[in-house]
Amino acid sequence: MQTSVEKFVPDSHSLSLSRYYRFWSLFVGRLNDVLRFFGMRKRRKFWGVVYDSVNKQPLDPVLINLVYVDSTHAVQTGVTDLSGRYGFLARPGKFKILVRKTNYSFPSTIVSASNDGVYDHLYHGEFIELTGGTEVVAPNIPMDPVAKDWNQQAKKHMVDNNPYVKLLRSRLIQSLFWFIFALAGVNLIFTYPSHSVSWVAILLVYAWLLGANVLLPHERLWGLVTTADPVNLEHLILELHNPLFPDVILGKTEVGQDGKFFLLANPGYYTLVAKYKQPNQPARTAANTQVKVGKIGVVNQSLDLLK
Amino acid sequence: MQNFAKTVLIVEDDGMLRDLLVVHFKSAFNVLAAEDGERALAIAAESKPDIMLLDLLLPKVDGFGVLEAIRKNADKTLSTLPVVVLSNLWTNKDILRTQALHIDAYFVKADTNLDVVYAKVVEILTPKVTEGE
Repeated sequence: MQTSVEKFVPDSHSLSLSRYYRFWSLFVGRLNDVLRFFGMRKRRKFWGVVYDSVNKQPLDPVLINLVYVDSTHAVQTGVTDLSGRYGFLARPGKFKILVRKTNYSFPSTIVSASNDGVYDHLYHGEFIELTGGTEVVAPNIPMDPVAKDWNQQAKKHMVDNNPYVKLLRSRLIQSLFWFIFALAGVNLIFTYPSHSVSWVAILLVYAWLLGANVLLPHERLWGLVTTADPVNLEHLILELHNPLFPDVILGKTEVGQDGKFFLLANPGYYTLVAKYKQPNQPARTAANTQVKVGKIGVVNQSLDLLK
Repeated sequence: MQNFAKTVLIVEDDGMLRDLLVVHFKSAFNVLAAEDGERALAIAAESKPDIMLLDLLLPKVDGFGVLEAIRKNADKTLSTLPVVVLSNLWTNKDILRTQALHIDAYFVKADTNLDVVYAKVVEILTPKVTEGE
């Protein structure tokens, strides 16, 4: 194991994204944003939210453990961010998610269904089994308040995360989008054969968006590191740093043996640093690159090491 | 585990997280804990800890207020007290505001773990331990 770490000595700045890939991922990302905005494409679950089952507000800090039945797998641990978000890249196996927060209980008895009208894919402590490869596991988790929580009260004015407002805004935009589509269609039928150019143009835009919705690939939930020697991946950790404050880490994850990683971040520009774990020593920086995190809130790029 | 004979003041309003931090640090440090900013200032003035682990969102006096109060304190042991911030606030504005008050490290709760925080505390206190010996 020591040998493989020592063998891996990439050049500085060798963690890179190809120009073509940058352009393609930007195009796919923006178009996916447009399709999701109009409700044509369902929002992918890039992360899960731990939230208050009564007022639906996100909870933090919540300690989350992913515990495998087979004890040979290590427990994965996380803490929710200010918006209650979390996620794990889980290995195949059978496991449970355990959550803990002061003044809250789990599993929720107030919300016991799989959908509460605001959040879906709800988790209540049942076993989850993965049989294929590694996958992102991030169900939404309701917790019941058992006492007043000062932190949650104080946070209300800080986090712009009213799920009811978001849901209403989304439904209004979608209704307007399909209303205009219907209006253009009706207009085209009743004015046939003397079509208004503007209504035809509107319908062509809809046709283009519908085509894109069918053909455009979905964005990945995870990022991928490729390297000439996959053995080294098990020693690799990735950190997101604020470019203005290099000492402050704003995201950290390990890379799976298949090169996949799950790294949650708020939208913005970051320095992504690849480090190698070394026995009894601090991790050694191997490479870094600049990355942009969009609205989806995860780093899902493909990164080449030793390019 | 090495015992540093140093005192860590943990300021965290969330009971679960405060307990985790206390358990993690008490094997090698003397540990004091406060659940709000007002209590933190009182304990700091009375017990003169060697380092403070400080949350920012706190009842009564928030973490920024605690930092301002100790940096303005006439007692040099308080005005120069090493402070490690452990908060889920992550914006440039929050980080800049704490750095202007001379913190020693800033950790975002969701993006770190107790071992990393512990290692930073040891690193900050190590020169003092050597001097003391």
